[in-house]
Formats: sequence, C-alpha cells, structure tokens
Amino acid sequence: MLKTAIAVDADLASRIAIRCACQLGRSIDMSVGTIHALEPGEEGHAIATGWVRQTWEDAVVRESMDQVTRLVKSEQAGCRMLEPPLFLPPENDRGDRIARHLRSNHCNLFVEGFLHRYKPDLFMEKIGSRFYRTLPCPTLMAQNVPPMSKGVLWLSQGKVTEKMMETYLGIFPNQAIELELLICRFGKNPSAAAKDSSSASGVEPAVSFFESAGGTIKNISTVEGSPSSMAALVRDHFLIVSSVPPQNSLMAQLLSKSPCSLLFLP
Amino acid sequence: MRILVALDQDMRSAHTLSQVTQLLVNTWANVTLLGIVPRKSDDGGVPMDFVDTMNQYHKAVLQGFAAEDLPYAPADDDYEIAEIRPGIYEKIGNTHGGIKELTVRIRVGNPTQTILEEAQDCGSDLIVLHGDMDSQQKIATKADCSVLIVKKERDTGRILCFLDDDLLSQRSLEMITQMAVLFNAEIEIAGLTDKQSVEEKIEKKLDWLIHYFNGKGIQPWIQLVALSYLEPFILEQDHWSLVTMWMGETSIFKRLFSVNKVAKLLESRKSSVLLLR
Amino acid sequence: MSLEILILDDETIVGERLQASLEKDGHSLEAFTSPREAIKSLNEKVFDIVVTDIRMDDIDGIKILELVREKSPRTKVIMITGYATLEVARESLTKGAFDFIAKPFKIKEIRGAIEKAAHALQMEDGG
Repeated sequence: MLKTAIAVDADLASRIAIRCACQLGRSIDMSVGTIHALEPGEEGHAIATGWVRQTWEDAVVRESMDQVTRLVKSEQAGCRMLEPPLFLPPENDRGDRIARHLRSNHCNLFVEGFLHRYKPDLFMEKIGSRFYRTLPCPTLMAQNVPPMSKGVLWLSQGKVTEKMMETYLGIFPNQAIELELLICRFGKNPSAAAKDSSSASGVEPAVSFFESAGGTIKNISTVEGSPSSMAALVRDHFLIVSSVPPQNSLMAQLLSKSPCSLLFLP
Repeated sequence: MRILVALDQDMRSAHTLSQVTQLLVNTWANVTLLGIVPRKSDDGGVPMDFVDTMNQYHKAVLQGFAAEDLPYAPADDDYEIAEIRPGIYEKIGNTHGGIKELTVRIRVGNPTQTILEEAQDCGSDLIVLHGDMDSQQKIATKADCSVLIVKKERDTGRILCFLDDDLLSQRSLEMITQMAVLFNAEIEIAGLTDKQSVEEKIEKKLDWLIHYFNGKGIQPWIQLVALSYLEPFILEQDHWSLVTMWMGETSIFKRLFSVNKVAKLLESRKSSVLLLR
Repeated sequence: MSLEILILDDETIVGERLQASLEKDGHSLEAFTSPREAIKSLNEKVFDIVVTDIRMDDIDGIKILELVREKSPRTKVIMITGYATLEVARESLTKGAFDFIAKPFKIKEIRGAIEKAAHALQMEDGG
C-alpha cells in the first residue's frame, strides 16, 4: 500500500492537494494521511512578552489547529480515506520537519497544494528550497484536479533513470493512467512541435526496463524550442512528471507554465 | 434566455450569426435580430438592400435547425417591414407563432444608442455583436446585460474566465455554463490579485466557484495572475475559444475597459470575448 | 386565474426569485430544491403547472416530467436548464413539456411561459 502524507494549511491550495490525493486514492491502493506543520505566531507579530506572549501564541496555535481540523473534516465528506491531521511541533524549518516526518514514517508519496501562478517567482522559490533539492520521497505539487483520463506526461531532457521509472511504477503499478514521454530539447526555436521519436537515444534502457516491469508508454516524442513555445504541450494532463530541475533553468521555466499537478521524482 | 444579435452588412455579421445560431439551436432562446442603419433612405424608409440582408439573416438562422426542431415560426417570402415606432422597423409576417419568439427589427440611428435601447426594450440577457463593430467598447461598458463579442471561429475548447474582487451574479455563472456547453469547452479561471488581502478574497471566491462548477459536473482549472502582469498574460493567451470577464460596478475590467486598456488588448486577440453581468 | 404551481430547482435562488413574483400574481406556489420532496408533493397533490430544472444531482427533470405526465396529463410542465443542448430540448418537448427555457432567464420570461400555460389550460378546460 502506498503511504501518502498531505501537507494541510487552512487554505484553498490544501483543499486542492487533498482532492488530488483522494482522486488518486480512488484507483490506487493507498493510505491518505494529513499533516500540518505548526508555526508559532504564524498569524502575526507577538503582542507582548513572557506569560502573555506564551498564552497568545498558544491561542494562535489552537486556532490554526482548529482551522486545519475543520478543513480536513469538511473534505472527508468526499473522501472517506482521509485521515485526521497530525500536527508537527513548531521547531526549525517547516520543510525539514516535513522531510523528517516523511522519512521516519516511510511515506512513499508527499502531496502539497500550490496555486498555479502566471508569475513564476514563488514556484522557483519552492523548487529551490532545501526540501525540493533533497526530496525525501516522490512529491506531488497539486495545482489543479483534472480527470485522470487526461493521462500523465513525463518531461525529460533526454535522461530517464531506471530508478525514476521504478519509483513511478511504485506509485502507478497497474497502468491506471496513460503515460506519454516528452523529451525537451531547449533552444531558441519560437515554434515548437512535438515529433514522434520512439527510438530516442538516452531513454531506451529506462523505457525497456519500464516495459519489462509491466508499464506501457503510449507515446514518446521529442520537441525543440523555447519554454514558452512548449507551454501548450504541458497544459492538458492529469499530471506532469519530472525530476526537480535547477531553479530558473529552462526546464523549471517550462514546468512553471503548466497548470497541471507536478509529480517530482527524487 | 433572450438574446439580442446586433447585425450590419459587414461579412462578419454572417459569421457572428452562424455562432449565435449554434447557441439558439442549443437554448431555443427568444431572439431579436437587430439590423442597424445610420440613416433612412432617400424615400424616408429603410434601404431595401438592408431589408434583403436582414431577411437573409432571418432565413440563415432558421436553416440552422432541422424542420422538426424549429422552435420559431417558419419564414416565408411574403412579408413586409413596418415602422412600429419612429425609427424602429419590424418584419411583419411569419415571425411570431412558434414556441419561441424570433423578432427581426431594424433601427435607424447611432449603433451604440440603438443597441442599448433595444436591449432595454426586449429585456435581453445577452447582446451579441461582431468584433469589428465600432461601438463594441461603449456597448460593453454601458450595457445592463452580458455582451458577447464574436471573433473568428475557433475550436480550442477552452474558456478563460478572469475573476476579480467584484460580485458574481447568478446569471453570469449560468451564462458561463451555457457557453461551456456550447463550445464543449473546459473552464479556466484566472484570479486577478495585486496584494495579499485581495489574494485571500480571490482564493475564497475561487474555492466557492470550484464548488459551484463541481456541482454542475465541471472541474475548472484555476490560476492566479498578478494584476501588474495582466498585459503580458493576455498577449500570451491565444489558445481560448472565449475570454470572459465580469463587468460589475466595482470590477477591475470595468475600470480598465473604460480607459481603453483591456479593450485595445483584447481587440488584437483572436478569442471571442464575453463580458458578464 | 389562480394556479397551483410547483417549482423544483436544486439552487434555492431560483425558487426564491419566482416565489415572491408569482405569489404577487395570486398564484399558490410550492418551491423545492430536493427532487424527492417534490415527488412526494406531486404524489399527494395535482398541480396546474410544474416548473422543473432538468439537471439535478438525485433525479433528473426528465423523470419529473414523465411522472407528472403520467399522473396528471393536464398539468403543464415547463423545463428549465443550465446545460442547454438540442438533445435535451428535443427530449423535453417529445415527452410532452409545455416549454423549454435556458438559463439565465429573467422572472419575466418564466411569468410569460406561465401565462401561456394558464391560457392553454383555460382553453382546454373550456374557456
């Protein structure tokens, strides 16, 4: 069984994360836990010191816990497998605490919500964070919840490792979702059109491994152009799969243009 | 639903009519085909060639239906144009008598004024006009109902809805749903934000809209666009069947439209535009 | 002519908008958002006019139309829909709906349809 943890705050992005995970849970054998990393004083600045400050911080934390619990409860109506939230104590970096939780609980998938933005700054900041640079497990950045029938698009710059394929098959073992592989060759070409390249060099070993493990790739194609010219190709899928690209790289720019949920594989 | 279609002798009117006919086939809406002429002919009536054009438009709408599905009275060639009020002419004959009303009118005068007056008179829910009508910007900002500006035919299957901090009306959401059915399109909502407080409000509205559309079996795509990036965003967006925006009293677009900014930007795009109220 | 009217739409706003307006015209109106409750009422009582949404979560409006036509062929059924397609319009009319109205609509449009239905009832009842 796939062990999944969703990071939940009291916001819309978290609802999207929950719905995305629950949608997966309807066709994949998985548990869906929720976690919230507490932040003392997250609602504003402290208004006093000492005992008063402590009391105020406790109240803020309680309020935050209540909001998250209410949100998870409201989503449970449409997703019975959703477990009540687990609160991570407020100490050091949020990403570090979540990573530690994922590792110590042997989670196979982490899901967090992120509202897709036209301006890529926040996306770049996120994928440049320590958490994303050292992913403890596959991480789904949930941005929207389109139907699974839209399939998965795997983006690569020509290198797909067997380990990544194995990790992917650990999440989608039963070919529940159609998979396409798109190899991106970044250049200045202003108009990009994907060309069929079933024998693309660099990916054959991983593809053979994938197919021998029972996976099927519907289509392999190559595209040349700028991230902007490729944007239309990453719009209409249930998921986009990729490794975490370097911050501000061309692949990162392309991913920032996709409104689909993004599955990052370590 | 009641639709007012503003028509002139430009080729684009025929194209607009073909799109409207699809909407009529789906909705069986009551419809007024409104022809606009700037002035009367020398004999004090309506120019005969324009009357012929309107008659052709009328027939084109009816031909869009299979005979057994026609909700309007069938047309015959035995008709006359009568001046029902000063400057307002109506095709008299077989235009009434179906389950639904199809009215053919010609108004003489300034396009903006005549279209807005007719929309008031017939209580239209939607005004449709083509993207090259000079008056489109004024009508878009002054009309009480939604306005659809039809551009070239596109088959991209996506509707982009700009969402700002303005109030959403029930009828505007119903109009978007009908358009999604008409274009067989997915809905994408771009929430416009400029500061944190607005972003929180927009998030709440997005949440509500997702809930609303989910209830209709539609799963919209959502994203946030900073207001300062609106121009490049619009310039990049050429893959829409339709762009919609709310035009309530406090909407960002009402303000931007009136200063011509968004209107100019949209004018250059290929997507049709639906302004919602 | 005072009419017994049933309104069914899973969005409360539709019933609310129509209730005030139609009661002012002297009609007696029952508004429902739940098709099951509406069916219960339709089984207990004969209405002159039924206005129903077509697409609802539980039971669709076409089923309501069929039920009404079976129980009381005299009753006029006005179908309203937010997802208008030719197929839906065609099916409604084929199955005996009196009128088909696509959303959005103004109260005036529904009132117009109800007036036409009232007129038709009057004619059928012998003037």
